[in-house]
Amino acid sequence: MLDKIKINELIDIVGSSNVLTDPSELMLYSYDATQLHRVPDLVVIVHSAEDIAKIIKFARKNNINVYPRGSGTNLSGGSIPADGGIVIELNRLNRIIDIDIENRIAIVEPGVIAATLDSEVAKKGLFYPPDPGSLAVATIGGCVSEGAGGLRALKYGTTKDYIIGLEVVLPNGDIITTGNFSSLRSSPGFDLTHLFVGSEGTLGIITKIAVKLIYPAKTKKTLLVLYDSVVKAGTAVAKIIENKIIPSTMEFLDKITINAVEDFKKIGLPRDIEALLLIEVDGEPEDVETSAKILEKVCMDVGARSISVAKNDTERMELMEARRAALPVLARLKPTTILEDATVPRSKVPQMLEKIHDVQDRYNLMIGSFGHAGDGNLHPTILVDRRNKEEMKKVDMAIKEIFNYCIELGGTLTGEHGIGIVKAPFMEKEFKKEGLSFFRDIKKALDPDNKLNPNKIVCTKEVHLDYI
Amino acid sequence: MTTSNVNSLPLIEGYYEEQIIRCMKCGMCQSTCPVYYEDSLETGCARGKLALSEALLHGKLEPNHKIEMIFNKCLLCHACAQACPVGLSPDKVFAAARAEMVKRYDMPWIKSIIYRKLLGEGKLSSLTGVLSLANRLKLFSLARSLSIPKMLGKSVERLSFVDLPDIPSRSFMDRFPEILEPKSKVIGDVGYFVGCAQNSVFQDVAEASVNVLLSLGYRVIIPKDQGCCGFPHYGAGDFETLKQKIVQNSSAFKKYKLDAIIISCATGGSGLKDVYPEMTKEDNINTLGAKVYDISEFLAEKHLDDLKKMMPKNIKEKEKVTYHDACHLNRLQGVFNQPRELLNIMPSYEFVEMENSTKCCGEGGGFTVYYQDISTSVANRKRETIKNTGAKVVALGCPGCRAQISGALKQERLNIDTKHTVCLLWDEIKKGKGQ
Ligand SMILES: Cc1cc2nc3c(=O)[nH]c(=O)nc-3n(C[C@H](O)[C@H](O)[C@H](O)COP(=O)(O)OP(=O)(O)OC[C@H]3O[C@@H](n4cnc5c(N)ncnc54)[C@H](O)[C@@H]3O)c2cc1C
Ligand code: SF4
Ligand code: SF4
Ligand code: SF4
Repeated sequence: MLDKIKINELIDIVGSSNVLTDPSELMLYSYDATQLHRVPDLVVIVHSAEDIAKIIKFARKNNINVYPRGSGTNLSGGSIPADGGIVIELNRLNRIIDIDIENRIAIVEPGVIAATLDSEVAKKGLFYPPDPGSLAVATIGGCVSEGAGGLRALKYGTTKDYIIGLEVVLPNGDIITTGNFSSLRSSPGFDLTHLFVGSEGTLGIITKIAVKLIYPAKTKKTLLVLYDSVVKAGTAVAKIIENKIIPSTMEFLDKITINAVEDFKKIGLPRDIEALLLIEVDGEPEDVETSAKILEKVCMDVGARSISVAKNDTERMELMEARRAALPVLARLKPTTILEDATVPRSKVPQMLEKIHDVQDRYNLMIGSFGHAGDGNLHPTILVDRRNKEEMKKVDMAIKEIFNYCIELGGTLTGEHGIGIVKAPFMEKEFKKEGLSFFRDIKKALDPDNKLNPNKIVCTKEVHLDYI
Repeated sequence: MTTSNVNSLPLIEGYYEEQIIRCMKCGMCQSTCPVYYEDSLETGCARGKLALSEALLHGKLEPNHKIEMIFNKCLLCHACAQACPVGLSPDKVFAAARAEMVKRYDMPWIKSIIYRKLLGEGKLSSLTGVLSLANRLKLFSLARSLSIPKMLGKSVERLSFVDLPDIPSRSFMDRFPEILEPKSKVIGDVGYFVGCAQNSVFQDVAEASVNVLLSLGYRVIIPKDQGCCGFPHYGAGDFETLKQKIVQNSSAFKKYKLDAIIISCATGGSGLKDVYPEMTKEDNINTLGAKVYDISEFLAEKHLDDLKKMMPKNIKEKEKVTYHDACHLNRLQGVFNQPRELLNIMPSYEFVEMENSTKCCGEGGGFTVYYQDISTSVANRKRETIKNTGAKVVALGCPGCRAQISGALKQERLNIDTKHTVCLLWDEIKKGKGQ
């Protein structure tokens, strides 16, 4: 697709060691954490916004698609070069440009790993709350582009709530700055910053990010609550919020997940419970104590079987282990793990779970569910063997049912994992014809040739992706 | 594209196929991979190499030199396995994939001389003969001058050869009898697995190990017909020689009735404890006749109190010592606390932790040859963390790390010693005896 002369043009821009052409290397930039893949025609490693602008102009001139890529850990096919073209590898743009303690703002390049930003700001006594499970490997650019959430989203919000300014290379090669890099006041006019946050690399490539920081809470308290029924656990979640308590974390595990945790970690959870909640409150010491007391009472009133409260940091970590282990232990049950991201209003969590259990029984699939109960964000995790074609067909149907019901309940397709390519077909269901057409208009206005990460969020062409 | 590779890739079928197919491409392995840390390329981390294995398995790529080099781009340090939520051991897949590559292309000639001729043939006791001959023939300096990197167009010095001592003319096994009796009452019979590096180059480690065991009252048996552990062959993908080594060592040690087999080489220890069971599908008691212990594991778990009594008294000046965790000791054998416990009872030393003590030193066998720049920069990071402790001695438990780290320290002319934990321990016991 790309001939030698054209490749040489790219080599002139970034140097030969930054253009990957060998089929074996191209294979390694073909996938993301969906495990689906499509081999790109070329991978270009960039070191600056200017490099990117040049490559975008080159691609446009030559009618080639371009796909930005961070660490490739997204769960929706967002970074897969689904329709062929060039993958732009962004993880060398990895400088932390400034951590401004006085104004509590950090300015970073997109390739900085989220955990690195976390620990660097912590060294300065500040706190960057978004904490996706992939913190240790995901890039900030990827997190901004996906609007990544995490365990602390209930109280602190997601990545969306912390981005105050961006530098973006537009699909026409122009480099613009949005929002404000030096103060928390937003700039006038359209909120351009948030047009790009969560846009999954379809509207522009982010090359600089300003995030706001906060002060960390002084103390934390963690509770592990066991329930005999999912409905009771769901009711507890609603009641806690009604009592005006916003825990920093309120996580849920279902029976299959709990049993898997016991199988592999043996932390002493009863195998017959239907649900557990892991709740953490943080803040000023007195407030935390009062909140914890109220929490205990509410959970008991709703009919908890038992509650454990961590007395110190070690115990806190032990209780947390149940939640941390959820995905790893499920992933050990079967060769293939398909992690979904259905999100419903908080009060509808029990109904959604009932539906998931019903789907599981009817299709005879193994589905373990866990997630951020506090904001209705569930991760039904389908466990299969992808070599079994029959089973995979059932998975497709099961996912469709789960999503349709999720939207019926007033929920959304994705709480934090993005639309990418795998959920694009469901967009119309959620946004209706008019809504989707507005998405299309925006995409067209910014990227009239549809060259930047085409087919993601807004589906323009049917493409088939497969496992390697 | 064909799928015909499948039949000719038997070693990555079955167990290996499961490992490959189970990778959920989450990328968590990037967070701990020392190679990925250096160049942030997907070829560095486990996910990339597993994807490559998968593509080979499904006939989407054909094996070639480039792919062989990507499989070589791994320190086999097992750090990815520790981060992997699915509990995979990607390093084992790569070792197996290398085996396939070896079968297909045979090995580069220099590797084949070092591994097959020198370590593969015959018994350890005759090995130093070969090695010193090799020395005379300048075979090692040939390796030192690095034909392979030269072939690759590079000419940097291999770090782990910088500070390599000259190889003595007689091997450890030539110098010591097969059975050594303790001066005191016999409290048990232990077998000692010498390992090539300690039989030839680092004989001080073998001597210290045997002496400490004798001081405790063990009869120490050093079977003359033992061979190399086979780990280098495993790492280079030469499974045929590995199998021969297992058979040879099994017969050498099973001749005796032993309470334990002790080894003071981290790599050899993981060979015996980790690779053998994987190959034989049975435990060490069946294969070798007794449970295998790393020397620091054995001493700290069974004899810490006895050793405390043997320590010198009234030591006024303490020297700072830090400890580097060899991947093959910490991750593959789970030996972490034990060497620290030993260091902490030594009155002449004050133990200080270095930052990232468990991070690989960048040795990784053939890796140093193929990816010298990465190897060197991994080692340089290690050197910096060592420097920051202010320690005068780095204790460790692996000949590979010792060569690499002492090389890195030497290059900056730092006055920091690199010693096996058991050598420090034996020095202390000698001091105590003299009092
Ligand atoms: C084990 C595991 C746990 C996870 N847990 C969570 C979780 O708790 N919460 C959560 O929200 N997500 C989670 N994720 C999903 C994923 O990690 C996040 O979406 C993450 O933010 C992706 O970052 P990345 O660097 O890997 O981006 P990539 O996957 O490389 O890219 C993501 C998208 O952003 C685009 N992109 C990347 N960089 C840029 C840029 N600079 N400019 C423009 N577009 C760009 C890509 O084209 C793609 O569409 C998890 C994933 C895994 C594997
Ligand atoms: S074994 Fe070590 S070097 Fe090799 S892929 Fe795993 S972490 Fe990286
Ligand atoms: S951590 Fe394990 S499952 Fe995840 S990509 Fe790496 S090897 Fe695969
Ligand atoms: S690993 Fe140890 S025993 Fe095995 S060959 Fe090397 S030095 Fe010898």
